Amino acid sequence: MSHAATAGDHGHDDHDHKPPFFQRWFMSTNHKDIGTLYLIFSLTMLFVGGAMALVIRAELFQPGLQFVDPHFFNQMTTVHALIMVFGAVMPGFVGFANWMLPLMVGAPDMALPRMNNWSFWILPFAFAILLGSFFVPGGAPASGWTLYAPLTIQGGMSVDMGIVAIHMMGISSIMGAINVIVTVLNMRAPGMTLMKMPMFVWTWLITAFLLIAVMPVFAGAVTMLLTDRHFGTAFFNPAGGGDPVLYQHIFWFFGHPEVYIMILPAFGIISHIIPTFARKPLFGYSSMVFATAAIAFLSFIVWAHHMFTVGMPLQGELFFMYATMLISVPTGVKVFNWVTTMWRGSMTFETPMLYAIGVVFLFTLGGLSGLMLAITPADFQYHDTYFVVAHFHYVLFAGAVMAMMGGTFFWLPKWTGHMYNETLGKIHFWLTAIFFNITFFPQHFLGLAGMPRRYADYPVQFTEFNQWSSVGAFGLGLSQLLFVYIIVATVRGGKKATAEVWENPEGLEWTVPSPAPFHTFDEPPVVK
Amino acid sequence: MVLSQHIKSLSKISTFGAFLVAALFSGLAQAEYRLNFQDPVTEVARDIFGLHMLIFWICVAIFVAVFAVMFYSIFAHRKSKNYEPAQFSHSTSVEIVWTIVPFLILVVMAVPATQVLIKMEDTTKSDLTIKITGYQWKWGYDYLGLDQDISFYSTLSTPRNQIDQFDKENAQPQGENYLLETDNVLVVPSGRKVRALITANDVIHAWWIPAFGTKKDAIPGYINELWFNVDEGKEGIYRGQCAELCGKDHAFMPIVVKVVTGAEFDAWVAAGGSFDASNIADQTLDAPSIVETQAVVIETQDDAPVSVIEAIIPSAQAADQPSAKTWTKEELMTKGESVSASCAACHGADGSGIPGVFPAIAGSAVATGSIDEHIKIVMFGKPGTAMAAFGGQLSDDEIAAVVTYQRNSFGNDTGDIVLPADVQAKRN
Repeated sequence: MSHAATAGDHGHDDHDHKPPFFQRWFMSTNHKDIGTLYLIFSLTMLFVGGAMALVIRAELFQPGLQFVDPHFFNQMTTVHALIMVFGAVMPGFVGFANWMLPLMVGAPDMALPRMNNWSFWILPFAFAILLGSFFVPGGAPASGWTLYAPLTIQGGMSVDMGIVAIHMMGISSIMGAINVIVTVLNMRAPGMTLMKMPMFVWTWLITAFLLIAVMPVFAGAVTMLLTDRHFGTAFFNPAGGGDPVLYQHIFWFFGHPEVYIMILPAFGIISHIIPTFARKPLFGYSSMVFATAAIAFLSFIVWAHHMFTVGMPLQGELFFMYATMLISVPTGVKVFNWVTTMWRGSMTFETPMLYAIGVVFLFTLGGLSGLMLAITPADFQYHDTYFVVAHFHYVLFAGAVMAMMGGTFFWLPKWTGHMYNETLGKIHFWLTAIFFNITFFPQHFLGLAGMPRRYADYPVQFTEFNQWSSVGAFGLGLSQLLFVYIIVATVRGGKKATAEVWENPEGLEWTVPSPAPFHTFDEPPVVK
Repeated sequence: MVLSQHIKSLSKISTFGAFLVAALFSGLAQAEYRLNFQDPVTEVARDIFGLHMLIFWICVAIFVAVFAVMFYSIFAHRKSKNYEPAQFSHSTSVEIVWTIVPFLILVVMAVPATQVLIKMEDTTKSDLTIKITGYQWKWGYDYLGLDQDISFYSTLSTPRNQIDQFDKENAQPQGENYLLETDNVLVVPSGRKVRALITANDVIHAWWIPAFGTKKDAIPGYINELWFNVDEGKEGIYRGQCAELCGKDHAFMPIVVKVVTGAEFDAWVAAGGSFDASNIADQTLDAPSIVETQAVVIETQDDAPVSVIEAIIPSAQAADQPSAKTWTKEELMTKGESVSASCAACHGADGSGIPGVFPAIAGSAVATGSIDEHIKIVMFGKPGTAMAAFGGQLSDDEIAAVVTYQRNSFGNDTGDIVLPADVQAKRN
């Protein structure tokens, strides 16, 4: 550690002096390198979780059990979700935050570089434990990523490994969030008032507060599960007078803000890409900020819409229905702002812009199916069916993951100093968007027709759309190999990128050379 | 009231919409599939369907309006057409409008949603109450407040070799009601308000019949309520599935409800489950319509029609049968093998279990150790684990048979014979 810090200190004189390989990648306190580590980790997890999704889709290609038994199938759905949420999406956005926040606010690094190192290096161990649970007797956790009691209380030792892994991920996330808040509040360049901060900085600041508020709640819930399992408590175990519904309330008090943790930074990325390629300032900056804050606030008072069928009192159901519907107002404001930013712009459609448009279009589709899910009487029919699966993949894959892909193409020239291959980038976008829709659009029909989610096998009338979905999923998975190829090719070479990369982009990150030097903004820039 | 008017006009539009979408897909697949909810057969289900379509079309309208603007802009405002970018970045009036208008649209949605929800949650003034209990992995039904005790379990009846396609040689093609068929079915009258009390014995399940518009979680330690009132003239068989992840066989605990006319239901109840199958056959002959005739006959695995009563009564009475018979070991073994399907769900057909989750029976300390302990675990379950108490579900004969079977199968070779009397002694 001290060695790395020393190496960093020496580096101040020379912007491109980098420590040797091991010190650089294993002991790094440099925000750019840690950002890179996070992004590589996230991409790796995307493939691990994606492989599990393909096992699920292979089994569901036909009715009957062809490849895996239902117990292993449940392990696949559970760990796929845990990996994607905690391993791919969240660390992915932390990677973007590490790389871009100091560059955007004109800071030399994150405020707490050693904690930054620690919060990253917890993750590989956390996921080694989670994935290691496949090799213990009984296999990995199989109770769904929501880990509902009392089903979780039945599970084998893999549940305990999962709980330990969740604790570690939570610690990592909280440290990352603290770092973001301290950096953004203390290290902005002179002249950059809060209301002059770029949108990505705003969305991440709000996300960080959400993380600090809810990760401890989740940690508490799983700790109570752990003591129910091993230490004779009965928080959630009805056999001892416990309350299984209490678990769901606590879980979703975490779980609903969690979905905004995964989407707000995506909103931030989109709010950078669209103005750049429309050559026009972001429309309604301050309403964007307030809408983000409103979404974050509302996310704390809507949790029980995930559990309308548990038998809440009528008043409770009405409250959570109205509050949930209300979220569509600030979310709508954001969509209208993006569309109006495009309106009368002078648009070009490089890969990042294609992704941004794709995200706005598909996320809105997922948002509207979310509005349908908010309507309590109808939710009784949609709940726990493939309609829900379709909905959250539209907001999480087409929203969060595709926003990260767009963000990658947008900032890749800044990170690597090379332009990516535009033709391949566009092909990747179209493959991803088309296969995504083949995979998930038919799932709306499956859900409405009555196919419950988390089913290893299904009645024969659901066969057609499951086949569509499975074919689409394999296409979607294979298309991502192209993504890796493009990134690797761009890191290794390609047309030299200018400092600005795009045409008159706004933001401090475009004032430093491409690739961004190892140390930037030793002298704070002045923002007018 | 207001809503039902909406529904009428909407159902025309929605039929057209569904037709349109169906037309788009018709070239792509041959088999029967559905794009939307099952046809509703209760007032609540129709209200939900109307609400669902109302919100769906509002969402479609919003989606089309927003993206018509966006795609026009993408088409017109592009650099390749030398379009000069405007530089405006805010407009307070526009921003106020697009905050208030969506809010008003939400109010339009919330009013009918509230009306339907209030109706759904009103479980008062019911004509019949049924207790529904979820088990890993079957459903138990108890009719409450009748003169006679009617209670039974309902388990998947799809043959295993239709499900297991690993073993290509023995695999069978799936039948029409694959995974939607059970040994016993819930019988309810049409035209009466049926209230269900829902709970579970082990983990959370959810009881769902899409055509009734009802779904409620079955939670251990809780008693939830739901109600439905199936329209007269809609008698027949309705099928649903468990809708809350409940472990390994979540996908294999369907729900089958048979709706009969009030008169048929009364005749069945009046006979208290003790009247023989010919009574219901008379009812069948008296039944005026074909629909009702079909309604009384259900299909079993081998396609032989049997009465509802036959389907229900044997297991309902099982626990009460006297065990006067003298059993040989062979008889116990044969019966034990047939009863042990419940055991095989977790412990495997070969008794090897799933290590770390479901213990093996083969060579286990329970199945080769003390006979008393073995009987007790089968009868009373093992608290804190998935092992359920089967004392209430199985008769003395069946428990004796299954314990004998387990002690002399899967390589276990104790030679023990357990008799029904041994089991009965533990019941007190």
